[in-house]
Amino acid sequence: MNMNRHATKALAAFAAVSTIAMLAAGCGSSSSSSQQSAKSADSTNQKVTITFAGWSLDQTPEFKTLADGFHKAHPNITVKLKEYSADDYDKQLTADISAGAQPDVFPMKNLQKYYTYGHESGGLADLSSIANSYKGNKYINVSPYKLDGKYYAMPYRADAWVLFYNKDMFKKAGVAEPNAKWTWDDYTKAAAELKKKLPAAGYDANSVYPMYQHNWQSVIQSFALAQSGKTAQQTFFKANFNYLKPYYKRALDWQDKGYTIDWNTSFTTKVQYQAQFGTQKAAMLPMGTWYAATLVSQQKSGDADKFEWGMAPIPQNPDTKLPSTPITFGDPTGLAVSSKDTGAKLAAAKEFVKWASGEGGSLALAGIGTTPSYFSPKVQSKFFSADGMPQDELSKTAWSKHDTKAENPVGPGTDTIQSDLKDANSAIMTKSSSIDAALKDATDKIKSSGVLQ
Amino acid sequence: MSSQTASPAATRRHRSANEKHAHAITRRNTRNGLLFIAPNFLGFIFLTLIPVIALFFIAFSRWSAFGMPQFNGLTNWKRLGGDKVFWAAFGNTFYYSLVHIPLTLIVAFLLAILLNSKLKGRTFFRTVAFFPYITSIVAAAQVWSMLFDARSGVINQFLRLFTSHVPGWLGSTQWAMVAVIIVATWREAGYYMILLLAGLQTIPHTLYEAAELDGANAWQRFWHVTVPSMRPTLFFVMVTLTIGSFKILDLTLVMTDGGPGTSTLVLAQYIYRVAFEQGDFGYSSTVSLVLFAICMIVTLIQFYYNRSKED
Repeated sequence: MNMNRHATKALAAFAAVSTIAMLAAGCGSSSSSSQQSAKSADSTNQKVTITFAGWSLDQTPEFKTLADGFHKAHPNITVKLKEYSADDYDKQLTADISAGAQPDVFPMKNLQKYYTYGHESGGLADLSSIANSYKGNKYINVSPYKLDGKYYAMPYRADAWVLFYNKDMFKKAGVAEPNAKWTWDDYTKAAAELKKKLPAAGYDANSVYPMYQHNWQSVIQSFALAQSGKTAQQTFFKANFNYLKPYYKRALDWQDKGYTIDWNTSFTTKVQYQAQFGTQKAAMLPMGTWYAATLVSQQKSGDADKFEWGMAPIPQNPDTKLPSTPITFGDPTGLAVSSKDTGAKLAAAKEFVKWASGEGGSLALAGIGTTPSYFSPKVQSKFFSADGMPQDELSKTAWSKHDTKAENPVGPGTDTIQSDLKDANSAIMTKSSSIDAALKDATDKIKSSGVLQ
Repeated sequence: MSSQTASPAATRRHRSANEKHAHAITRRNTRNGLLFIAPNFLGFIFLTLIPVIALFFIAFSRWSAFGMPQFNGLTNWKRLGGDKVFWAAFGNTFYYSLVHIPLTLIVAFLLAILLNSKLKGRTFFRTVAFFPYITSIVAAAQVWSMLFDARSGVINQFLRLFTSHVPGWLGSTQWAMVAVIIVATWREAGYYMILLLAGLQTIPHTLYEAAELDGANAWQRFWHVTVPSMRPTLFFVMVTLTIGSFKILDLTLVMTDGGPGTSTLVLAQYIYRVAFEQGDFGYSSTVSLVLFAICMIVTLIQFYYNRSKED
């Protein structure tokens, strides 16, 4: 106990000192940067340095790739990286914005917090001029960032959910591979067939499953929302969750029939989806396109088995008309510019965001296996030229052609609604509560929290 | 004459110089003392006291962490009344505390008495009992989650020997909290056992001898000698255990994340959720004030009870 108290005291003292040090450092850098911007505003050709936030820099090469690539294209602008924690990025960014100390350019990790940042913080510059330059451009979709008629961020990564499948397992079991016309009913049928035929093909019946449904709420809820045929304003923001019911019925059915590891086991034993698909314990995996690069590198390093795989468009809603472009979901990752920036610094920051969201940045990102935001043919061939990427046409169309809806619809109350829906998800998937009861409970909770407009 | 008068004056001067000197020492000591506590005290003021005071204002405001909190009167408090998730968390926190506090106290006390007796290898067992407390909570929770696995977990495999109606543990709204309480008790009993053991060893052996001579049996010796002599230790253990129980967060966060549904969502996690996931720092402060009030009231009751017993 005594030691504990001492430790606490020492920690408090250290924290106090470091806070003061941080404050001092913060003041210093902000005053020097404003001087710099004033200076560089005088002459346009003068060298400008902008700061750019990123997380886990040694494991996430995308930030350095963008910074270096942009500097090559614009030698007078240097992009300096500022490291944040990957897990606490939003908390640290919130603290920085509220103190007015945000970097010149910073990522919007997903859309969940975008509304708060764009609508309430006042720390994000208007990027409508960049958005307008993309008007009518079919290679990029900037619409998720439209807020109050303005744009406060531009996408630089646009991962979307596709169906990963193990071609070897399908071949050995003698089951027809997924195609672009699949609905969730076809997915179920294929799973039933695989369940029967995989053991005969030599796969262990106890540990190998036809599919792996990961335990995130989005794996069920976001597909349902995207494919419901209604807008989020009609359903999600009215706390009317009827659209989720058929999706939950199917998910429970898959679990009951043993097509996938059940939700509770997956959640409590923290199953890794990478291991489940990578070591051939599941033949199909709905997942975001970011997994493609991970799988390629894990197959190289030996963390994943060597097998042939592909990406197919995500199965569609069997209860509506089949859309011409497959509907899936995914939050873009965007870049925002500090509203504190002026003059040459602001111009440089905007130029950087424009480059990063356009073909230049996308080519650089595709080169390291990251799914970028600008899907031109050049970018696509660059992405699939990486060693270990699948080469079939279905994978290429699945990766580049989709109608992507937001995982987190942008609006007030998104955070609260998602949080209550997460509780409903665990209640339904553990069968603690029936689908109807859990969804009604979520509706009541959301209404009682007063976030609905 | 001059020497006669000079002498008292000199003494006075001397005395006043002495006093001055003493004052200087006192001042210097005070200054040094203040300097010594300053690092901690400044840290306490800026990192604890001021934020806590600010909480009383923020709890009556709307604040998304950007700009200044906007005073909104009793809006947050009215929302609290109708907020189903808050009441679920409130109920769960009391459920956890009311079961966990007596259970941990009993287990810790029994362990302490057992390991205070002349048991073979008791130093070894004392260390073993303390192990869970120093084990990483994330690692321990992971292992327990596997043990609790409804289908293939060791616990249910054992229970199946006796009954076919085995609990669903972490996958069931009825049993998840029970599982959390079991792990919490396993984890904390060793720590309180050490505290109680220290208390037990301060009881003079003569008291027991006297009681035995007076014909007291084992139960009477425990109830009339051990318990009263342990009152200061028990009081300390009760207060820390109570506050710790109401503040429970880490265990539910890693074991269940509040689920299934809201069956293990506790107040501390709800505070975290509202603030950092939903960005509503005003309402989150309101909920923290409720938790603060609960801890305060329960501790005050314990203080008064303890004082009344001492008198």
